[in-house]
Amino acid sequence: MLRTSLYNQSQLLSRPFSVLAPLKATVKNGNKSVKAGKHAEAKVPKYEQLSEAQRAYLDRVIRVDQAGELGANYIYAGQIFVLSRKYPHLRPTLNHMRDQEIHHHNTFNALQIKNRVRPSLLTPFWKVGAIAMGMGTAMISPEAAMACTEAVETVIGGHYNAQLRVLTNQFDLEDVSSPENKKGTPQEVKSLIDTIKLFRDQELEHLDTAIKHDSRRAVPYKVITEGIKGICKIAIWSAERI
Amino acid sequence: MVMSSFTPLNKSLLRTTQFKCLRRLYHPASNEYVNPTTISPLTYSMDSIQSKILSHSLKEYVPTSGFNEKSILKSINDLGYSSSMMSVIGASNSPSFAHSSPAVLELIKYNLVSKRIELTKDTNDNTTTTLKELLLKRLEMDIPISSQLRGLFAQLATPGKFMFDVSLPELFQLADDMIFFSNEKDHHDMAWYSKRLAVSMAYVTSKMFMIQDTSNNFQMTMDFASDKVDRVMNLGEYYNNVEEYAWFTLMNSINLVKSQFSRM
Amino acid sequence: MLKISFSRQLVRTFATTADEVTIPKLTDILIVGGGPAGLTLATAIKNSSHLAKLKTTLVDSAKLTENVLPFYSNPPTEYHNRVVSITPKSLNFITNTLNVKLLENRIQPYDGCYITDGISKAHMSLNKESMLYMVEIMNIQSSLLKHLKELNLKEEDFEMKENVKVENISYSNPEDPTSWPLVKLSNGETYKTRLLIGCDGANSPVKKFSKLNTEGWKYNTFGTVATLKLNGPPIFKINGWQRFLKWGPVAHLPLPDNNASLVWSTKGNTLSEMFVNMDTKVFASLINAAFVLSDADLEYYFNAIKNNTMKSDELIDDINFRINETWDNLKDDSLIDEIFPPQVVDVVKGSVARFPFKFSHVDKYVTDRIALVGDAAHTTHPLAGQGLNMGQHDVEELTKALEKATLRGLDIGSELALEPYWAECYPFNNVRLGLADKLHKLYQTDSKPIVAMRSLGLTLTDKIEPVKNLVIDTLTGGEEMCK
Repeated sequence: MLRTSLYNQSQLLSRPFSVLAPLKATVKNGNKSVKAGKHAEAKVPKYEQLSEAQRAYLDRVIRVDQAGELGANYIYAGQIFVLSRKYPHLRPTLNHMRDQEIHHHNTFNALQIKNRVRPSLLTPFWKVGAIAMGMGTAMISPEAAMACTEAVETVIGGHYNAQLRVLTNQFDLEDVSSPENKKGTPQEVKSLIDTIKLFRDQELEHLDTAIKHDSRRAVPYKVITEGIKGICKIAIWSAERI
Repeated sequence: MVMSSFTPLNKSLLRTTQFKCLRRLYHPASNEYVNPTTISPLTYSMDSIQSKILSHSLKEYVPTSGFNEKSILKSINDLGYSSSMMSVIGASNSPSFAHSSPAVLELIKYNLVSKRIELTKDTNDNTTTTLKELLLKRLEMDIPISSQLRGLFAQLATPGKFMFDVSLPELFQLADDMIFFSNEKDHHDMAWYSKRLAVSMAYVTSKMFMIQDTSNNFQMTMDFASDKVDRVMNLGEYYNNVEEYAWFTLMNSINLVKSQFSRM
Repeated sequence: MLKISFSRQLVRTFATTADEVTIPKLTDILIVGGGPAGLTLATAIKNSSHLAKLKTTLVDSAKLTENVLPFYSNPPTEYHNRVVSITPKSLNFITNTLNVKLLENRIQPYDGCYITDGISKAHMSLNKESMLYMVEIMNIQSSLLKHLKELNLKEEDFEMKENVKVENISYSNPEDPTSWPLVKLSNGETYKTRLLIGCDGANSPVKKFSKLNTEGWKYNTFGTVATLKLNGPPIFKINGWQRFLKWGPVAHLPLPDNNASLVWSTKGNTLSEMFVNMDTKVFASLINAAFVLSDADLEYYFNAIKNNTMKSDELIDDINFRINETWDNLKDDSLIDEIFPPQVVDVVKGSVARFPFKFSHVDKYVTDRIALVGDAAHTTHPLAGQGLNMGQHDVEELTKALEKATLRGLDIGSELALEPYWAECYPFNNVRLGLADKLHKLYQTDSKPIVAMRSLGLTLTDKIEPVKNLVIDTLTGGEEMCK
């Protein structure tokens, strides 16, 4: 059950626990085709270049979000591994949330390759840590697992919101092609904003689901949620940088 | 306390990683932007005076006189610029004890960057170019300056600021470009790093081989390089199979235990 | 007042159900897939005194009655290319336990296996009287179908839905994965089943629905199968032959009279494609060459065919010449029949086909309301000839588990009832899958030290009787084998 539909079914035979995944293949994203703008299209606004700071920021956004979604995916995998047999009624809920996380993860994977972002060097630790966190809390009780979800999704929701703030406020570029050099946000950044918005909403849905499934009744609630929130923040901090 | 996300967009973002090798920038993947005027890490455009002088000297003088001030000076004279251009060219490099002069360092940098750009200039979408083809093509580009490779190597590999700021990042960037612009699959985890490392190693060792190669048209170097790439790929595949097998065995053992526990 | 509103509520509920979907038919067991595993399972259930009363439905996308059943009464002269080796244990299960009469004249028992390493010439010869049987899959399927028809089961006991596909599977209560699954068929019918069994092969839709996870990998290897015509029936004894070439193993397995069956696995795509499109006479000579000549010779011929540098006649003559040369170099002429398979004179037209090999093993065969059987649960490289036998063993054990559950009054769809089947079969299949996989890995390489090691291993196995017996036992179904 551990790796249930980690990627979609057609990729069932690929392995996620990869230190050095195949030199020959992993997920084919079909995104290499979108290589740095070569064909000039008519009517497309031409923006000034992104500044180095902006590019560095986008680089971080994609790296940390990729690592975060990977973590979320593995946390649910760990929970499913422990809970699915004993608590079959939780199975559909957990699987649904996991499937969404897998989609999020794949989305950021695609962006990572398309925009040539370096994945987090700590990826193996995120995998092991996330599985351990998922399994550990699930072993305490299903409520503790839900409290874990609650804590993680709270932090992630806040984290996405912070990203959205920066992305919407600080990416106004001059459109060189327009008559008076109007400012605007490139489509590329806009679609990233939309993606993050959608994912944030889904993560917050997971938060509600967790609370509905008695996360607040977990014992010891405070310790679990606060501890996990702390861990998540440290993880976010390091995944952005390393 | 979500510290990072509140990081304002300023220069501090660029300082977080000391090693330039690890510092990466997002590559915009759409055509909504004006073309950049300079080609990072160069600080001038391809049609600037500096660029003209350096490319002229690379073409005309480096193959015979090597990477030194004489080559640049001759080129400056050829093109009729003032000899003070020498200090303009070297402006972005700090003088170093171990190297010739800032201008020569710029010439070396220009050599690396312009050839890297040249290499992937013609690759298009849905490329079918293989990694091996790109690597061989890059080696071929250095055939004209083959007699100067030893000196070039010495300069590049001198431990110091230049090595960490230019040689290694350029090497890494080259490997990254070769992987991105070939039909090679890319990765989301440690394999991303190991693949780039392996390709860099293959490139450097081939280059070292090239220094001593006396065969006609560097045929031996080309054979060596293609063999090297094959071997890197094979090694990757072996490693991969082992990893695959280890994972399988782990899951297998868990399943065996679980299946027998279910009897109780 | 209360009563009225209640019944009104009830009526409305029924009405909406009827409008939205056709009322599902109820069944106890729904088997998806009418291959050997599915049909054997249906027969085993109907044959068991404890399970016969359970309403069983079998669904298959093929027209079984029209296309498979006639094979039994009117078998074609040429042998079908889908032939499997079946162990005495599996055969015993079908013919004695289930009382199914196979077409016996189309089954070929054989008494030994001669295995050679194509690179080092090391060899092993496994011998045991009637150690394995070669049988066409069509033979098994049609015999089982015939048997099921002859049982004359009433529709409320057994129903066979042919020529329909499974369109969708869902839980009757989407919130509850222990609720009975609803299976929607392409003919518009919907079944609600207590237990859903996937015998639907490697790309099983039931497995997909169950969310059970699969471990494994593709072999990047294609198997080419064909029916062979020999220059005459084997003279001394009937043997199976397998040679490990650098591209993969090639096997030459006996069928009655002057027929034989070929399974030639080759790495990558190109060789198998070439085999399928090749002139049958040339292919026949290549098969002869594959068992006698060296890898280098074969590679030469492959290239000659690929680049069209040799005419067919030339090629055949050249191969014959080389084979004769090898024979002449033998100490003793009688060795020819002992270490080389009988000569192939032709390949039956249209019998050459190829398919990819995959290694997969599902982590868990069962979950609430669902069980996977046969290829849906595991696929393997055919070099050890275990695929069908593992499926038959699955069926046997699943039937036992279901019987036990019924006796104890358990719900047969519950995970608790099904788990003993998994516990019994997982280790059994694991050994066989692992064996085939390890052999494949071992013989895939031409690296010198590994060839030396594996040759030593093969020779030692050949020399040390107890080890050899263990191998024979594993391949032929184990000690518990019945008469």
